[in-house]
Amino acid sequence: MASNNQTTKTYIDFKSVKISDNIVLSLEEAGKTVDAIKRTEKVTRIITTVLTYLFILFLAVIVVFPFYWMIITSLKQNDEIRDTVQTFFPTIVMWSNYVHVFQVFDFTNYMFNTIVVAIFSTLGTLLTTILAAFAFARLKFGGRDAVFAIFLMTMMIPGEMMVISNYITVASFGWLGKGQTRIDAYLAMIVPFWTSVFYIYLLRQNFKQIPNELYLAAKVDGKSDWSFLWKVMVPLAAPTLISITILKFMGTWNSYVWPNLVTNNSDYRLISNGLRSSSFVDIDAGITEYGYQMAATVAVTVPLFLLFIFFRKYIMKGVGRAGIKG
Amino acid sequence: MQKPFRICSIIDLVKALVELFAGLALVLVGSLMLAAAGTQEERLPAAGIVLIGVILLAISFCSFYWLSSFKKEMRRKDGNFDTKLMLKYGILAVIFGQMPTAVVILIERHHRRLEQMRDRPSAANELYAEERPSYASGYDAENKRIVRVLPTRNTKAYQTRGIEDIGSKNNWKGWIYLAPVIILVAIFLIYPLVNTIFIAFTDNYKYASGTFDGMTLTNFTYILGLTDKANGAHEAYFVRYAIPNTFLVVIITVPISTILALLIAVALNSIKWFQKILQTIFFLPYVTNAIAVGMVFSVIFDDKGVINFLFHSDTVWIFGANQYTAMVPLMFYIVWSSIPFKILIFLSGLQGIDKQYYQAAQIDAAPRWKVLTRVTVPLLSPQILYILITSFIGAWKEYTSVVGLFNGPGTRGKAGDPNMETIVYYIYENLNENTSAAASAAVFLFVIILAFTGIQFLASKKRVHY
Repeated sequence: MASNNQTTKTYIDFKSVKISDNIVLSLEEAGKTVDAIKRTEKVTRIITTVLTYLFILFLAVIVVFPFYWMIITSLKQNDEIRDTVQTFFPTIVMWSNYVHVFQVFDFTNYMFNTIVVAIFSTLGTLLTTILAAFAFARLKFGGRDAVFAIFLMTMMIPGEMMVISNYITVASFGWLGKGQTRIDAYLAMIVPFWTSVFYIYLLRQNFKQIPNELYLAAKVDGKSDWSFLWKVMVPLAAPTLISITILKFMGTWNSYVWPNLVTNNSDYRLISNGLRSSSFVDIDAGITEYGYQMAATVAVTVPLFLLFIFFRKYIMKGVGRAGIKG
Repeated sequence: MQKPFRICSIIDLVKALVELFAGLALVLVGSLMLAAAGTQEERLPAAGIVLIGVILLAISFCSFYWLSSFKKEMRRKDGNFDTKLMLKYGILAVIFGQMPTAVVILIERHHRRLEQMRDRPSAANELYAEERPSYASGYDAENKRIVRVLPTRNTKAYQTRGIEDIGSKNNWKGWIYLAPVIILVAIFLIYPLVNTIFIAFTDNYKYASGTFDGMTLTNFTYILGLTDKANGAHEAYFVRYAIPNTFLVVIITVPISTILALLIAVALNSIKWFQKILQTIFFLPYVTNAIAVGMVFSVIFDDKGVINFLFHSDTVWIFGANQYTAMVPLMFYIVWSSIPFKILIFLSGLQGIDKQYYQAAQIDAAPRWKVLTRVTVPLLSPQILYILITSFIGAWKEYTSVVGLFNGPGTRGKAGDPNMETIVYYIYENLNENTSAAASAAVFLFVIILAFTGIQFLASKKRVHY
């Protein structure tokens, strides 16, 4: 490439050179023309692109398949589900499965319970999280860093360690046992989840990024810490708060173990419990009607999907930073 | 400039709304007709109407998706689309079924091309008259040097670190802000931790009354099946099922799902078309109810289900299966449901890697797999460590997947052994009747997880590049 002529040195104009234009010659490519090398490079690039897409699409089909199967099974007749030849689309679309499911499976009651528990545990969590994150991020007082370190350490402890004693604690508050009312059940499901160390950590990082100048300006204007928190910091951290809210909602929608433990009337339980404990057995045949079962799972899954469609950005961002479910 | 785009987005919005309502109406009418229909002949047109309604709904969702992404792109580019981008968006609009938009954009592009053809200077002029105000890298002719502008990691508008409240040195009010959290953490986090460890060493703890018969070490030997209780009760299932099942889940699902997620993330990062949509598809398993999808998998793996039909086998996977066959659907389900989170983390890590490393590798003509193992994986090692730690902890605590798939601790219902039990399952099962055993199992799990996490941290010290 470079000329051997020592007297007239020429410089390459770097402005017009792109890296993708560069051809690297190696030993095994000796004797080939530049065009031939370019052609083989182009061919390999096309082949790898096609292979990449095939790989991704194959896995995407596997990922989507359970959802597809859930929906079409929910629209099939039981005979067709148990047939030796599986069909990939229902021969007769059975909307009546859904009608039946809404009669058997008390969807509205479980939905109501879940939403009540989700709303109140989210509100409590938001309040405690905002206050604590503000104290950790903005105020200075003795012992702050020690408390924060202890908080972070508790994140390493598996939740199963706490369940046993929390069960006993909640029982000693009188929220469990024979005479449990609906309010008791709600309290038992809500109060233990009013705090989350992880969300405090998340929000504290967010609060720390809010520039100091704003705080000083508010101080100059005679604002107190309290009004600065609610008038400036909370609005600025709104995206994180929305992420926390949605993740908390999803967590409640998914929670199974704790509601199952602390309620003794199935009317007070949440949607996952209702789904698992409802029986979809056909009385005449004596076997589980998969069509009904799948219709119920569709009914449970659809609200989450709607939430996902509308808040995709917040969910994916929140999960990317949070990395925990609920 | 932005006018044509604004017009087409309004057209789109109207169109999407019309589609949405028309689709909803058709689905409603069709379902009513289906419900009223008696014979097969009457059902067919009704089903057709429902199908058309569903397709309309799908198109309207496509429109909404398109609208949001197009608007974002417009805002990002500030309305300045060059002809290349316009072609891309025109084609995308056709794919998404946005015919009005496609026509508007493509006509606009045509006009723009004609203008450019008219204004274009001759080739020779272009070569010399060209002036680039800012160079990312290139040859600075005036100062005779090669200029390279390197991106820095912390290009942020504000200095964000090390900011403290200067005004108040010791603000006792901080404790008031912290008070609710400290009370809750003390009651529901710290106290339970201590109390659980305490219960693990008590004999015969009764949770209702809080009484127990003195301190003992036999709870641990009891759950491990070494000693029997005073009343002759013998625990065999913890060692026979809970521990091996949990171990198998940990050592098989974590590596498989991590490697798979890494490959998918690298592939997703390298493609140009449909990247966002595929990314969303791979995230779908995250936004599901664990119990609900477990039930779906138990239908898919039913002995007369679709898996056996596709592979022409008659294996019993779920109900009535033996321990190790039933592990296959369980692990498949765990991998399926744990992948989206990992892909998300890896993708955000990949997007943070400086492109220069790949350009350097390209200049050295490094083969693709070597780029993956020598560049991508080492630079992604903090994310890989994070994923490994969180997913190992998660796998040790597997519980809801078992409930969803098998509706109980065993494959043979109440009659058989709890052969699909995991350690956490054991804890929950014994919580009421045998609180001491449950607590000691919890401590057992806690110690294992702590040790495992510690080992991972130590092993990673040499291999992780922060």
